[in-house]
Amino acid sequence: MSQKQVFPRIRSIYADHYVKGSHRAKHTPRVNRPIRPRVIAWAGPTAFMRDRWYERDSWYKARIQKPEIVPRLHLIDPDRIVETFEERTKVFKAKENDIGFKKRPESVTIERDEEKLEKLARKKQLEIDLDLLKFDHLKIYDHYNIFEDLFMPGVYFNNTQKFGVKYGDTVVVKRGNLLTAADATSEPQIEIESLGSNAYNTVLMLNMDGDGFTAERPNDFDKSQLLHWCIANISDGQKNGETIVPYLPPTPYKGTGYHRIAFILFRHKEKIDFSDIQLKGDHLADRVFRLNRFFKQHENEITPSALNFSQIKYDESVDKTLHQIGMKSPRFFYEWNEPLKPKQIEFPKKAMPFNHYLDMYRPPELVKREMFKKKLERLVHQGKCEKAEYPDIFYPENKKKLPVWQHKELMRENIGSDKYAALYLKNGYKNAVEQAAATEEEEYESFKAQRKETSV
Amino acid sequence: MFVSVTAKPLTSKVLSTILLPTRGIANIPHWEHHIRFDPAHGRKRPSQDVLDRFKRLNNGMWIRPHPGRNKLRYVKSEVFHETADYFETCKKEECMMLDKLMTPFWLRRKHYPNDPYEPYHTRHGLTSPRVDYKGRFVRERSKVLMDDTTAMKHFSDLQ
Repeated sequence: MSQKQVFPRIRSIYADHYVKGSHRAKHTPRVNRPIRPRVIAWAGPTAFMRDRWYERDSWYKARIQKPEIVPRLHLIDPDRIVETFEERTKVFKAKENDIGFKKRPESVTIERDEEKLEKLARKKQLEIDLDLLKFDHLKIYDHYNIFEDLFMPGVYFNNTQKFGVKYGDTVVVKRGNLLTAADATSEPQIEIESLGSNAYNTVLMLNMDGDGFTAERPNDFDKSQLLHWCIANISDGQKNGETIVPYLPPTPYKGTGYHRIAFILFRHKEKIDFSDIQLKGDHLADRVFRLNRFFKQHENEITPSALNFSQIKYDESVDKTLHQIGMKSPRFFYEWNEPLKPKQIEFPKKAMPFNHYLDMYRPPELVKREMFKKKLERLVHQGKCEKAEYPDIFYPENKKKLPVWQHKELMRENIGSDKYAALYLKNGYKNAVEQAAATEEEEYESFKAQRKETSV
Repeated sequence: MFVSVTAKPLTSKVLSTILLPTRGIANIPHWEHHIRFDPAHGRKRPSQDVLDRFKRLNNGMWIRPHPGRNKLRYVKSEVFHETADYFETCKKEECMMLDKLMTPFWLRRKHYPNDPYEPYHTRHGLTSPRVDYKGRFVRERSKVLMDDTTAMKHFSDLQ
């Protein structure tokens, strides 16, 4: 006979409370099955548990386990970083073709007292004259990508001849030093080391970043430069040679940053006819030059022996130089990227200033159209669209009348900031920055003129 | 002004009078602000407090000024002076609730001449779905059933 299973019966907590007339059960019933677990399958075990800190969902009355939302942070995983900083920032240019001369072995014949030098070094009184040092590293040329941009990747040469380029007394062109365009307005003095043999030297002055006239080519070996000066066939020991291309001061345009101005010295045994380099016209575009092609042409005769370069930025003298040629001095402006915006939410969870939020996502064409419409309205109703003298001439009245955001917009419009600059843009100017700069210059000039008058 | 009401307390048999203020249109307890049937016409009435404090844009967004912006300004920082003057957007639940408190007239699109809010009545660049979890249209009236292209043409809120 099967044993009768007895399952424990639970006594009610209200069993001992007597209420007249109620037929309340004191125990759970006697059944031959266990009590079903008090669990609701679709809700977790913590459902219907009273907890004061839960977030109530709207149509549930129960507490739901919500997934933990981890904010999207930018995490740096150190396990993924393998290389050292030096390795990552190393610039390595392959050196396959040496197109220059072999480096002469250095023979030092200076008498020196080793003991005395050691003493001074220990006491940290040993002084080294940097001007006597020979700077022969090619790393600086790698850093500025000089060889690649002048010739081809893989090409290099050592400085085997002393080559000095001086503007005036103090300004010297070394290896990438900064000069002002005003320093370089006149021809520099050139000093070439005489090596004793009956050879000729040729000097070329190139602006490596100056060519804005040719389209960018996809290849690495046909880069173009501007030829500012060429003196050819300088005999060994002499100072004068044939001026093939007359000197033009460097012309880095405004807004284009630093241009590398390189002076290359070539050495050749016999005189070469460089008449094909001669300029065909006066314009800057006629000075476009391709050093790689030029070198390939005269490869068998000439060898590069020295290279100096400096970096030159825009200056007012550049304007003068260009005007003298008959060119207008262009202005370049950096085109900033559009600011990164978070994805737009229809009803942002955090209270946002509504005008700034909605303006952030308005397409720029619509903004332009609105500004144009405003400008036309002003021209029609008031006859002119000029910037107000003051941000808001009716400031106290408007402050009371208008909501704050509208008052601020009105002031922005009157000043002409950001998008409202289009309202006051006059013909002939590309953008508001240019117009502001030009008007500033005009005002400064008129101010100077006034001062001159009053000073007399 | 006051109306006397007799109340019967549970414990004692003595009746006592309780004075309650008269219930007019401007004197409703705040938990009854959503009037479903007004005594005059039997129609729903919009909540006047909501109309005073919030502004509804045509695209469904409610705007409110920052609460407490004029309180104790002299002790508050420069940052507060700027940020407290913002007119802020309401959250989704708040916008839904405010819409429920309104009558259909206040949910219609309004066009005014020289409206300073004109550029803000349309949203641009929204990619959220057009239907909610029950399949109801989010930005359009449910009676108007049209395909996407026609809706884009006429409901310029979508842009």
